[in-house]
Amino acid sequence: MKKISVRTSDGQEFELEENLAMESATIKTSLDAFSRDDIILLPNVNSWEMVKIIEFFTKVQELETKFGVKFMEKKEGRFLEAFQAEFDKDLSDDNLYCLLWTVDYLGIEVLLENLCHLMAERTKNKTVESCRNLFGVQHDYTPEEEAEIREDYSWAFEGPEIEE
Amino acid sequence: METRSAAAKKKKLFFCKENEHSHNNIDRITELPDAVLHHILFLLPIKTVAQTSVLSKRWRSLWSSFPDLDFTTLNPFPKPCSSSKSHSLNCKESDFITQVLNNRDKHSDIRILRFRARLSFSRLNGLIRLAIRHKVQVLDVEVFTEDYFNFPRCVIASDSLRVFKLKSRRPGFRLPPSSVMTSGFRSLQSLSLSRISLCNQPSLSDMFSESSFLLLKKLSLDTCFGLKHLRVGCRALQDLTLENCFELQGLDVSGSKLERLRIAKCFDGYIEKSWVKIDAPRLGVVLWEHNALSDNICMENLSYLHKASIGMLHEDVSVAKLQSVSNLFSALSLAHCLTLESNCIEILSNNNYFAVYLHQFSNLKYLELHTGFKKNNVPGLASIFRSCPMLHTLILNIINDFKTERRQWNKDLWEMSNSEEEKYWESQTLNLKLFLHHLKIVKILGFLECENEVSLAKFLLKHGKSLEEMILSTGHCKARHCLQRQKIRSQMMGFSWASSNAKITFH
Repeated sequence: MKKISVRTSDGQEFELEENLAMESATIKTSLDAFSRDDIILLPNVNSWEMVKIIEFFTKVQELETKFGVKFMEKKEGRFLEAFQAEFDKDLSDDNLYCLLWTVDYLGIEVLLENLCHLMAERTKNKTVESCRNLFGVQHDYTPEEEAEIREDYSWAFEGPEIEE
Repeated sequence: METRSAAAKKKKLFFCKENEHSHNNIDRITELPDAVLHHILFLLPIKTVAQTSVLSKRWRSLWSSFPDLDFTTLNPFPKPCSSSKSHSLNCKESDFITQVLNNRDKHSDIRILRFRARLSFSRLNGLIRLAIRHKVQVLDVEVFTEDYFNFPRCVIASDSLRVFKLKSRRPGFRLPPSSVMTSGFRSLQSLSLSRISLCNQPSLSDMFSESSFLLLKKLSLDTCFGLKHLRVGCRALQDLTLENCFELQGLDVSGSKLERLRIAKCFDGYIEKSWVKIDAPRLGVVLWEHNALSDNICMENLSYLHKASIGMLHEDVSVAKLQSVSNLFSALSLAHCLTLESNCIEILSNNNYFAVYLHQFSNLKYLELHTGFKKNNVPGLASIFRSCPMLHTLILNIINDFKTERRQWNKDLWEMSNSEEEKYWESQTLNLKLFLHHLKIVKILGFLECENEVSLAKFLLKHGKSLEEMILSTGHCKARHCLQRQKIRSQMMGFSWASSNAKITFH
């Protein structure tokens, strides 16, 4: 299998297998435009993110062999769980955002789907305040404005909120 | 929204060191584009999504442009009680749906709107009109109204609507005349209507014709009061479901693209002349469930048929209707998988007509039978087996409803070398030669070690040359005394089987 070389923002070089590289719409476009022998520069991607992406595809292959399912084609429920269990434990919230951005930039659909699932899981059952801390969102409402929104959407703020 | 390059620069500035992220409240997640954030929000219940509007101004705009509004995740359908408290809750519910739609970003379209509510027709119409204005693509509505209402005509003119589901609880709604229904729905691909009062138009012969609903792929009509005649011929139709139409007298279905057909609990069993005509050569799945029998069933041989299921409403039929049963079986005779419900098997068991006229199911590989498995069913089963020479898997699902006593396998029978039932099966050995030659897997559920099933199991073990596996399971029925079970089992294992590969499992 042909290897594609990429260089991340901090100067590190990685060799990717061609079919893995083609999962990224961005890399694929670059390959179509330039020769496959050139090194592709990815100034928006950090090396640790690249490591994670390669790790993801390795895990996918492991799980595919284990469950005998073509992950790329069908999203099996238990497959998703297995993936989440393995990938989730060593990814901090911050790292998850960065990875989300990078994967979106690289256009890797299947990994993006999974990361969105991970992020959604982390958001469930959190109060607004803890969500704010989780996301690190800048609070740009005045107390009056916020009260107005809460009033308008009172149906959404009803019911028990689970404290984190 | 920031452009990607601006966001990229910002990102590079903040996150250039590996794993070193200071927790100084930089709005990290804001750098993600709207599409990604929406993707995350799609995976959350709508209540949570609405709550995020309070996080910041950007999040508020994310909410007001959020395309999938599924309000059914909010609460279960309100119970149909008439206390004023629940009534006011439901009004409030539809109020906030209106409010959400009104507060939306004017330029953002709605992709999905789904809700269940108890409300008046004017409110329903208002909500739907609002959704149409936002170019809704999927509209899925379940309503509980005070009185019959008229079909909301504003959906007909919509160019964006691809999927429309309208389900009414009591009492129901009326459809406009065909000329109105077929005047629009330009983009509609799936239509599902439930609980329609058709007393003022009992004959729907030109509503779903070849020239109407040109893009419609899926049609489902459920509980149509007063529907007597229906003709469906939409050119693009692939999936048709018709349920709970008890007054139906005539059905005409045609479609060169139709692949799946399900007709359940339909037809008026009491009138003299009812008829069914199906002309859909590409049908792959036909599910005929709990239907009263018509006098005349005309269905061409379906050569693409993969799966079929036949169930009748009544267990006895007049001799006049036997030809219909025969036609039905003949039409489905090329199926690969077949399920026959108990009434069907009763009909086959009670009429010698079928001992001669049952068509060969020459492609059948998988057969599932639901039956009480009483003594009179035995010849019926034998004739079914004789019609499936290529059968690979047989599943016998015995219905133990304890209405009739099934003869237990007791010690008298152990003494005899051959019970009456066993003798009968032995007499069929030559008739069932091909069937016994090909049968590989047998599964009997509801196995209570009664005479019928033990005789059959022994017969299949004795003569099934290709038998690989036999699974005998009591399922959820109460099993017999342990010691007796052991005795029966050892008797079943204690003679030579035709297939040396066969394996028997008891559950």
